[in-house]
Amino acid sequence: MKKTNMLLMTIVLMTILLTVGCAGSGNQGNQPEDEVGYINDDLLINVDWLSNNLQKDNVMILDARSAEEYQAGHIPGAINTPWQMFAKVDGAPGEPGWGVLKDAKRLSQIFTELGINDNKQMVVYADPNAWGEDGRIVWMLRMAGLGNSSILNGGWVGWKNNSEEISTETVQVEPEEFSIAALDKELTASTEWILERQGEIKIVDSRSSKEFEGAVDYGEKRGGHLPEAINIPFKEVLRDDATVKSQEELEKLFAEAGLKPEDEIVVYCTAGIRSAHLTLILRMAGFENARNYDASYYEWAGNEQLPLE
Amino acid sequence: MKRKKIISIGLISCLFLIFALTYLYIPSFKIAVNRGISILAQADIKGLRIYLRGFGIVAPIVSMGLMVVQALVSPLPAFVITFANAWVFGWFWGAVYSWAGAMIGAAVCYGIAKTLGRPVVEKMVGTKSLEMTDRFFEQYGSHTVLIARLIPAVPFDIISYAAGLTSMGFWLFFWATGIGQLPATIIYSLLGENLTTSTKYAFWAATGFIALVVLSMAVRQRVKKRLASEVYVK
Repeated sequence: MKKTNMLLMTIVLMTILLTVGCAGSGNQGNQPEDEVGYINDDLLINVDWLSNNLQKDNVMILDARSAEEYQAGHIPGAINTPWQMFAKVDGAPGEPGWGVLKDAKRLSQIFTELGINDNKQMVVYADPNAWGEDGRIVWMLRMAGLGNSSILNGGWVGWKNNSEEISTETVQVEPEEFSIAALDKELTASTEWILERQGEIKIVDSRSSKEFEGAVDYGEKRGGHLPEAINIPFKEVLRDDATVKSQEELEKLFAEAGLKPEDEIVVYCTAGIRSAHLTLILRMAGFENARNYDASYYEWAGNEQLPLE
Repeated sequence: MKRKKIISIGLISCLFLIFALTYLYIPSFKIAVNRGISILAQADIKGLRIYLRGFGIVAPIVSMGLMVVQALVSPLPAFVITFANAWVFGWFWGAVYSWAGAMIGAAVCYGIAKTLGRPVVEKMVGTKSLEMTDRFFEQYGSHTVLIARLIPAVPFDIISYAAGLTSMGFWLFFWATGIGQLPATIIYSLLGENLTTSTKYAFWAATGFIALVVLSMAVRQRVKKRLASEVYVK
């Protein structure tokens, strides 16, 4: 008798929780604003714009997620371009130079095969729950001199939640000749570049605070962070709906971290993906001397000679 | 009794099989689960907020599902989910979902221990922590679960497994868990809603935590005294 009473009580309570709960959920607020008002406002493109310009010949959509995710469903017309396609990933993470961009000649060949060039508006998207691969691809395109490249604000989550069309068709790529004149070294930093300027530059660690404090979850040779690094986990630039914060919010975030717009800033993470994303957001908000250290923590921690904190 | 056990084992294997098949054959499900676990492993509260918001109206179900996964994969932290829930759903509904998720998780752990027995549980959580909770159960008897839930520092899931190995009945376990985890859930939720990137509320986090520890110490003392006096009288 007592047992059945308890069971009844539980069922009633759970039912109330679930029914009332589902109706009461779905917190509104922080609606995305327009992608204007940034000091450099050519980085972000919103879902509505892309939805209206999807069919245009001069718009090219790059899906920076993994092949598996792409096959499960993608924006119509998008081609799949994971970052590893353009990086040196022979050998193992932690070896010197793992994960850095391929050279200009090799990149020119890949761009030609995919039809990437400066006659088109390039829109890149990724899953905001991943590693900022959209930022990595746009950083690379801009290194190659393709300023006509943008991130889809809100990414895959924004596209899906706006109930936009999703396709599972594999898109045929159309090769078009393109040659990179030179890679823009202003956007990047090497281990030597950092060592030569230690003390004069601000170093930003875009990994999670757990990694910053020493966790080695991804095969890093040693735990910790670069001396005097400031921790800004890269997702802090996003709102909860995965769109990028406003100019004002970003300025506040970066000022609290101790950054000034005129600073020489170098951003790193584990393999230069999250840091590429943060580098672009910094530049967009007016911190124009930000660079991505693409060999990143893997290379630094892999060299026993280099100091860690 | 024996028939009941066979049914329970069957039920657990069925649920496990459904999960495994969905995971293997639906890529988007697999990706979502992996993302959730990797965010939890990094204790990335901000990341979890973005992750949960992305699920729209089914976010509460995803959150409770994560709570169960967290209970089964032992080193993942539950407080990350409680904090993120409070931010995404507001402190009240956040607390409701966190509490409900933890209840389901606790029931699953209890059920696994009850049906599969000690050797399996030992493999899942390790002999050492299980021996520690054994002593706890010896000391406090049927009050163990309630006391353990009041103290946030006591590992939640190991207590659930350990309770499943004792003769403690399910409903007593269930409601002791439900009432015991209320204070910590509410405090974490209130903190979670006010958590900003600046550590403005870290002070309150510390204060709340200490208050909770002091409170549970007081309860502990009283229970100890009562147990002692009972023994003395007898």
